Amino acid sequence: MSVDTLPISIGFGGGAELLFGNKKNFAISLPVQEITKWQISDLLKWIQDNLLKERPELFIQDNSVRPGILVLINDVDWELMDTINYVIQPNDEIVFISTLHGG
Amino acid sequence: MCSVGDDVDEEKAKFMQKKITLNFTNALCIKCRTLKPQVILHNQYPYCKACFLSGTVHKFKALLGKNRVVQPNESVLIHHKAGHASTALLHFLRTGLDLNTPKKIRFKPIIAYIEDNYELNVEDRTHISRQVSDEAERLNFPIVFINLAQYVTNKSNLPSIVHEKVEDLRIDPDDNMKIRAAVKSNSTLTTQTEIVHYFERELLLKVAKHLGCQCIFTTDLGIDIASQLLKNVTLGRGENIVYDTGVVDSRDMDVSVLRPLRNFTIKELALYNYFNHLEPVSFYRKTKNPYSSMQNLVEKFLADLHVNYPATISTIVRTGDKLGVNNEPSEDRCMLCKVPIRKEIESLGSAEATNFSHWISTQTRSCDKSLKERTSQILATFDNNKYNKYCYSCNQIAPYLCQ
Ligand SMILES: [Zn+2]
Ligand SMILES: [Zn+2]
Repeated sequence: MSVDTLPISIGFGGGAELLFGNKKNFAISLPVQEITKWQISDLLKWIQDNLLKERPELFIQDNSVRPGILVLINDVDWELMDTINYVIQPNDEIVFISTLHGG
Repeated sequence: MCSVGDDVDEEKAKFMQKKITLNFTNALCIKCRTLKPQVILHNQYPYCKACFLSGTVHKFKALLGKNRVVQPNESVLIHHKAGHASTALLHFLRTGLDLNTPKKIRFKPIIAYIEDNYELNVEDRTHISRQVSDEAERLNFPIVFINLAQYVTNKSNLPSIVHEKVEDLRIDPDDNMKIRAAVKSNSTLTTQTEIVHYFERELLLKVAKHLGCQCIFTTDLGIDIASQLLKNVTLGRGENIVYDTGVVDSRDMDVSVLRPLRNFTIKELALYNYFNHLEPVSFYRKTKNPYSSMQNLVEKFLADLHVNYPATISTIVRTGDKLGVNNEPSEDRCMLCKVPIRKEIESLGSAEATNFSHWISTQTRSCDKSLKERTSQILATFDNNKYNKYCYSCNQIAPYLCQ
């Protein structure tokens, strides 16, 4: 692992991938020069700036994900991991699943 | 006996609890009390992955076991609506059918996909229908496709519009117009939504009968049940609540409707799908204007409340479960929604009073008669049965039906 990046993988499912050009998995490296402790809230901003092309309101709301989007960190519900405050570790797998079902 | 999601303490609070933040740093699964939890349900109950998955399947089977509406070898119509709920339901069924134990599922599911995504373009609609077809094939279920607009324009020839292959499903850009043509254009969106809802229900029942199914499974989740209940209240459909939201809807003499997912949240099923590597058919629906219809407003109200008060849905569903029908069983059904219509009763209820008031205010006074004579004439000519083709609420929307 290189010292100046934080490699992680992020995934989108349940329809969330539709906001990311229908791509489900991304291997990314987060820069650690400015931010040394990356929290999920920082990652959300990074996603908004770098990956999210259209309709950000369907993904981000008030510093967090929009209600109805589930987040798993290494297959663990982020509500067990302090949600947006979780400090990201190298090689973490972070998955966003949309549950916004119509009726 | 306890299972996933049933651990909510009913006695705990008189009022709904606001969302609380708990610390789960050293928490263990509340079921096995051994493994580290991976899922938290209802905002407070931690489960390990194994206990979560087995509890979810158990909850589905428990509901089927408790309500023996399906006999072995009978066919069951599964109403596929795309999304997590449909995918999870199909997986529950496939897993149950493939068992070699006495708990094996012994009925025969057939999927019905009613295409009605009229707000999308033809290409997207075709793509979604194909994905549904692929899912049915992957999980090895027979499936039929029907375009709701085709049914609405030609109700008499059902076999010609029920297709076994997705390639035969006709999707037209003007389907939206066809649906609208069935409802008068001076009606509100609330009325249009109601009427289309009952057309869909009617179609589903006809397809079930056409395919020899005695039962229909819906994919309604707790939130759908709660929202239907509030819609019924706001639209003056108190009598429909038991039928529209109960576990079993036995309104139809031949086909019963079961709602096997009504005790689930979308989170449970989305995580069930995730852990089982299932990708549901998904697409973004157009955002609805919450103020354009009563139904949309109810949905927004519930969704907003649910974010801060996670007990909202279960509170509404449980309250609804306490309601029952205590009318005399009646043979007369409402022509549209098919609920039994109350028989002639001695005293007038609020529906009859409204009918009477509507009727009397549209009569011309005969001024040459005395007040007493007029009164007795009015009472003799008021015919409440005139309103008896429909239930109270359908009487309000029936004038907008184009026959
Ligand atoms: Zn466990
Ligand atoms: Zn009715």
